[in-house]
Amino acid sequence: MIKSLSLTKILRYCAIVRSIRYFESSSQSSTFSPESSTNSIPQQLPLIVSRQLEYPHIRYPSLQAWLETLGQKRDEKLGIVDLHPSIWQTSPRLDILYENIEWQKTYKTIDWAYTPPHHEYPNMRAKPWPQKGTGRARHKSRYGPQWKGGYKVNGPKGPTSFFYVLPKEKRIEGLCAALTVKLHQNDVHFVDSFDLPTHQPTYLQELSEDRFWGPSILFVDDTDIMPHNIMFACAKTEGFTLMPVYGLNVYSILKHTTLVLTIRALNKIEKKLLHALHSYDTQKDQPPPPPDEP
Amino acid sequence: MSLVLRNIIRRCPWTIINKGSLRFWSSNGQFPSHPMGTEEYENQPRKSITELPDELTEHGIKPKFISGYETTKDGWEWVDNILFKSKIPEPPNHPTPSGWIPPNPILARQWPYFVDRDRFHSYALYVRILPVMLEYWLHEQHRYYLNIFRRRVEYDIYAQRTRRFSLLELISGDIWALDHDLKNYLTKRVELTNDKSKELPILSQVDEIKRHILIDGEYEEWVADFLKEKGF
Repeated sequence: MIKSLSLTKILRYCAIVRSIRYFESSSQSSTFSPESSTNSIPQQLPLIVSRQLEYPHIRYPSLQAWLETLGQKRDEKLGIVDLHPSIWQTSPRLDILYENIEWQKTYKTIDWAYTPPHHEYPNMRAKPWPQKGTGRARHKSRYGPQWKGGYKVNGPKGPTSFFYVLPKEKRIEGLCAALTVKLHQNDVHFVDSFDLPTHQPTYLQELSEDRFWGPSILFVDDTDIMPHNIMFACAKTEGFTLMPVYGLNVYSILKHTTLVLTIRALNKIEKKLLHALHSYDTQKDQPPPPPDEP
Repeated sequence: MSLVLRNIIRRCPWTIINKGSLRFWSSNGQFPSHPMGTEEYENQPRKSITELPDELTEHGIKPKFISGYETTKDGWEWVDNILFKSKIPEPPNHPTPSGWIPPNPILARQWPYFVDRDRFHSYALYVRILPVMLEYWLHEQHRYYLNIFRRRVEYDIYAQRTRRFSLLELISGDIWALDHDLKNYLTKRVELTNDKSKELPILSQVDEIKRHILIDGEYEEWVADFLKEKGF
């Protein structure tokens, strides 16, 4: 630290500028509108970034959270992010969370228990000993249910599946409840992107320890193609998992102690959930008309 | 073949099987016996009504002339109006002739609670119907709470109908304050009607986890008026 102060200052400056540049270039494609502009001049931090929300709530204004970086170890906030109250301020419905978790556990299970019935046993017609004369009980075959090694009458028959699909409204409500619970327990962090300076897993581990980000972290990004550095770091670290938006589920959100979202992931999640909350039966929509014949 | 069929055939005399009481194959020797359901039959070009013989049309009447037609792509808006759309349109900011009133956000902010609208911009008021259940024994009638409950149940038994509840959902904020205000409003409304048969006390169940209030009785219209007064 004391050895090369100037070098660290330059590196830090470069890291900040690089992160801002990438942040602005990534924000142009999304619904951002940063009030301060231009790429070459370094801005004064923190930036205030406004975010337009669809379907604004009548009663509750938007929530606010810090925007952080993974590009440098030092915890400097880049700005503030607006969050929609319909997703991030709903009631913590424990019953719906429970139903979602039970569904995720049981819909994949198959019970393979099988007890063969009487007609799948060998030689059921042979009488072991005559009806009368011997002092023993009267039996018709050696494989009756009362015998050791005999068939079972009403036992489990074959693979039984516990597949069922939870209603869409409950799954959506479950995601919103899980996200509110995480946010209000200070376990959600918003990040500009997953670009790390090194691929060393110790960088990410020390960063998360300094910021008290918990033993298990769920990193959620927009697409399923991730930068190489974070992929390598998470692969080598136990407890860190990378996930695209389409893999988001209640069990993973609650299993991992912290949740780290990129701004692009946040936009996609909010758009999907709000469209689902404010529309009716999207499956019945007409498919798009085929292109006109030439 | 399955075990059951095999056993039947084993026990049946051969004459029945050969004569055709248990016939699995058609008389012409082909299987299936009719082409209906096959791809070739179903995908044939359909004939118009005029080409069908008289026997197959209804009551022997068939149209002798069908006018020609032309295909256009104009007027899609008339078709689009009828199609199903998952997107719910935004309602107007003024009361409509049907009786729908938009929410008043300025008035709604005053109260310590808030009742949200559902995705169709209507009140989250529903009816719940249950069969009559006599849950309390006769010898426990000296308990005041049970007396009230039994009176409500006996009213429904006297009216020979199922239990009716009105459910209010999507509540946020102080539920117990809303419950208190609702009960006061409904008791006043009941007194205004001057109907002695409706002098039963208003009982409600508050669920803090599911964020709903269940009121014993059919009070949907009065609860809707209460919500309109508060601006929800």
